[in-house]
Amino acid sequence: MTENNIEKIIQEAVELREKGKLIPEILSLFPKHIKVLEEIFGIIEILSSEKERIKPPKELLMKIISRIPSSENVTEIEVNRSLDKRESKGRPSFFRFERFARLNFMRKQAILLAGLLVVALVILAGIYLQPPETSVSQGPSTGGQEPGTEEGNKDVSGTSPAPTGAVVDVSSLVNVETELDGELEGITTDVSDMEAFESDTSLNNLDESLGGF
Amino acid sequence: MSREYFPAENGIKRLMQLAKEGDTEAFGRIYEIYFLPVFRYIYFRVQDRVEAEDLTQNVFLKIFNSIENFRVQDKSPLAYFFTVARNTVIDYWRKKKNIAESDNTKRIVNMPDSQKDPKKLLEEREKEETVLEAIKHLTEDQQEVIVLKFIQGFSNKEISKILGKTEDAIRQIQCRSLRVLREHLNNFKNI
Repeated sequence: MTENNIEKIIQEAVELREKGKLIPEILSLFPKHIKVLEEIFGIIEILSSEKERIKPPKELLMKIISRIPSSENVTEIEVNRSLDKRESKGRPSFFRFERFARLNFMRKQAILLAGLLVVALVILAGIYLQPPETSVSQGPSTGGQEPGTEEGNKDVSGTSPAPTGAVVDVSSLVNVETELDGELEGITTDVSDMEAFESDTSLNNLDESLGGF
Repeated sequence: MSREYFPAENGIKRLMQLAKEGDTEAFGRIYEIYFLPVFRYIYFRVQDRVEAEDLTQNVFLKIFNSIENFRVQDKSPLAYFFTVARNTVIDYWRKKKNIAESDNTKRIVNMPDSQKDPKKLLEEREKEETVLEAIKHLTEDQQEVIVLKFIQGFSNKEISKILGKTEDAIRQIQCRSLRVLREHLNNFKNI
């Protein structure tokens, strides 16, 4: 058997092993080379087990990291650095407060995004809902509500809320509120005009004068 | 065959980019990811624990000092780390060769392992040392492939990126190395 032949068989066997085939199955595929392949798989097993045996001391990583010169903080938020190594629980302390700074910044971004989302919802609600006469008016006492809270006292006149029962954040929507009030005035003016129009008896006379067309 | 777990390459590239910008946390995370594999690789290449520790430190310092030159888009972080480690080992052997002839009979420093039966431990250790001793008879390329493939558990694709060879070449080297190891072990048994 030439060296090339052996190497080809070894290659095939190793590839089959990598694909997940069991060693007995692989050996059965090469009955003339069982001894060779058994020795090869034995060597591979020893080499693989070396990986678990070789472990560097934990202090080595800390030593390496401690030799890194201090760098600038890339975040904009200043955080007080704790030098108490016991708090680091085996990790360098500057990793922990860097993470804290980043989390804090992300939290503020999340709050801003939530506010913008609520504004968008209110605008959509304003477009699709027909606000009742008294249901949209906002008292000054509601200006202090936190975002996302229920609008339990939105309707100061005691009438029922908007048909969809949409929850609206009032406290942070002063400008939108003003716009909606303006629109409401326009709508109520139109309603008043309609009522006036209907109650105008002079138009009845017009009807008669036109001779029932 | 066990496989070392690495986060996805895109995640590591992102960490490398942050590290380039001076993010110390990213540096620390990168070091945690690559520290053990690099140490193991160097250990098996130099077969001396103390030297392996020193060389590992050197590797990470070199990387820290040269991270600005690392092009995140073009290169694989894994290949980058192991290229630096490989060059560090080559420099080590070159220096050692200049000082004295390399000692082919140098024994590996024993790792502490007190959990097993002493007799069984001795048998296992002898078997391991025989295999590791046989590795010394491989060429440099063969040693690297054997260590990266069977000890580190890297795929042929990853090894090809580290060594700058094709996957076919890696497969051939791998099989040749195993054959040579087997022959040396059989010769050792026959002595």
